[in-house]
Amino acid sequence: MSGEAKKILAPQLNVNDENVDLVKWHVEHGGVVSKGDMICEIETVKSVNEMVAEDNGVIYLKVRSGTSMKVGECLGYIGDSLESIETFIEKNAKKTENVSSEKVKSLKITQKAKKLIKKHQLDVNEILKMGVKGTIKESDVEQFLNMTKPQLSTPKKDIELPGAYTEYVEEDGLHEGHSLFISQKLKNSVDNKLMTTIETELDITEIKRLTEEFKEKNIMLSYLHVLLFSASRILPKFPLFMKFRLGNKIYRYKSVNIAFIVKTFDELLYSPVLREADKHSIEDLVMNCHVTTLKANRQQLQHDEMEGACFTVSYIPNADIRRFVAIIDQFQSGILAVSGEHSRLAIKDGKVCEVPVLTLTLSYDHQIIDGWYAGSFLSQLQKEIKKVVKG
Amino acid sequence: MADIDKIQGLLFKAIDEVNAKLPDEGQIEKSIETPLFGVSSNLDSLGLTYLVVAAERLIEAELNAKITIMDETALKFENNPFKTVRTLAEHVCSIV
Repeated sequence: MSGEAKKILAPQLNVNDENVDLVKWHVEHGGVVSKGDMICEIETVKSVNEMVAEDNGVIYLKVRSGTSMKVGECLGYIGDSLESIETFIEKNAKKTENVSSEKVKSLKITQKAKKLIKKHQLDVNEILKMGVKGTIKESDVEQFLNMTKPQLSTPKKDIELPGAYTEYVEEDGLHEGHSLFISQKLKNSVDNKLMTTIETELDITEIKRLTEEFKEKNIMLSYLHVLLFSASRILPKFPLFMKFRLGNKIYRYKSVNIAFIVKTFDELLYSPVLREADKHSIEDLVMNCHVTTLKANRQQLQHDEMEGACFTVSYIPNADIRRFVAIIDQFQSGILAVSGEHSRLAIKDGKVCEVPVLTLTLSYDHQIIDGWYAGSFLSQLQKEIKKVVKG
Repeated sequence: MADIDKIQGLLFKAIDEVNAKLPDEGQIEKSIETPLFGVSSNLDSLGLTYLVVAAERLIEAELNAKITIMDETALKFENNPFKTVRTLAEHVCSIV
């Protein structure tokens, strides 16, 4: 991780939980973890849950395995190194002494908010960092708790395995690594978005012609490239698709960075990002896609090459797939799912004929984008593609 | 220089591995004249990437030679080695 160390807080897993037990640490003091690695097990009255690291970094254990603690209490820290964590702890202690006594005295905090702060033993200064102005209300504290809530995987004890009629065996090893990271990202997104879809069919007769033309120039143009290129051109005209919502705040991307999904030879999913895609020629975009796809397949993509996209295009080039719904990235508001090529009947020049098509299914966050807007986006995308193929 | 028949055999093996992952309409024909790039090729960029990765791994496993068949610039050149399975085999032979 880069930047300041962070506290690892005892999570509230059920509404009525006041205390939880730290059953066992799965890392040593000073151990290095990657984002998504299991760090400890937390037990409530109902279940035992695995707690995972929210960042890459070094773990500082504040309390021992087997300790019972209040929800919101600090059980450890994650940072770049033990030294940086110790500096953070020291700084935090001084800050709490100095600032709390002066600033907090003059702050207005509602009774309900005070109760919550006390219950979770929160640092008021941390809540203020969210940008709270005026009085700290109960909703501000709830939002803070929500933002700092650790990512948790499925409870172990709550869900029972199916009965004896189903035969199954437990696979060796745990669901972990890259695959766990992706599944957690998707789950976070589903939990925080109001995902809706809208779709259109794209006649690709002219795109097929264009790909043949490009072949003559020794350029391997695919439908995905045309869609990425066209989407990059229209995104600035649809600024809501360059924003995302987190808590009650809206964030806006400054550049048209578009991600596309790569399924590697080893069956792993990656989402490399094409930076400032709207500024590239289609030839450059094709080359960038080739290079990043190759890097993904060689597992050479760096973390920062998969971050910062405002929009994603996901293409499944399988003719049996007529449509699919893609899940929006947690820090985006839209994703375009592109089906395999298939055909439909159409009337052209008074005659019934078959035309090759792709189904474009746009998933969008209905909290900030409505159906009319999403529909306009798809119409404009169709127009832009026609413009691109005409050259 | 490696034996070209052996390299062609490994490329055919790589084609088998790749075909197992590609849809029916994207299958690569197992012939030394199969075009991999350009006007007569049926292969898309993802299929070509899979083939390159599969071939590199097989060559490393069976010939103990770690090679890079395709680098970032390979596709930019008109005379790139991906015209057919035969030209690719010749290219691999020259670098193993």
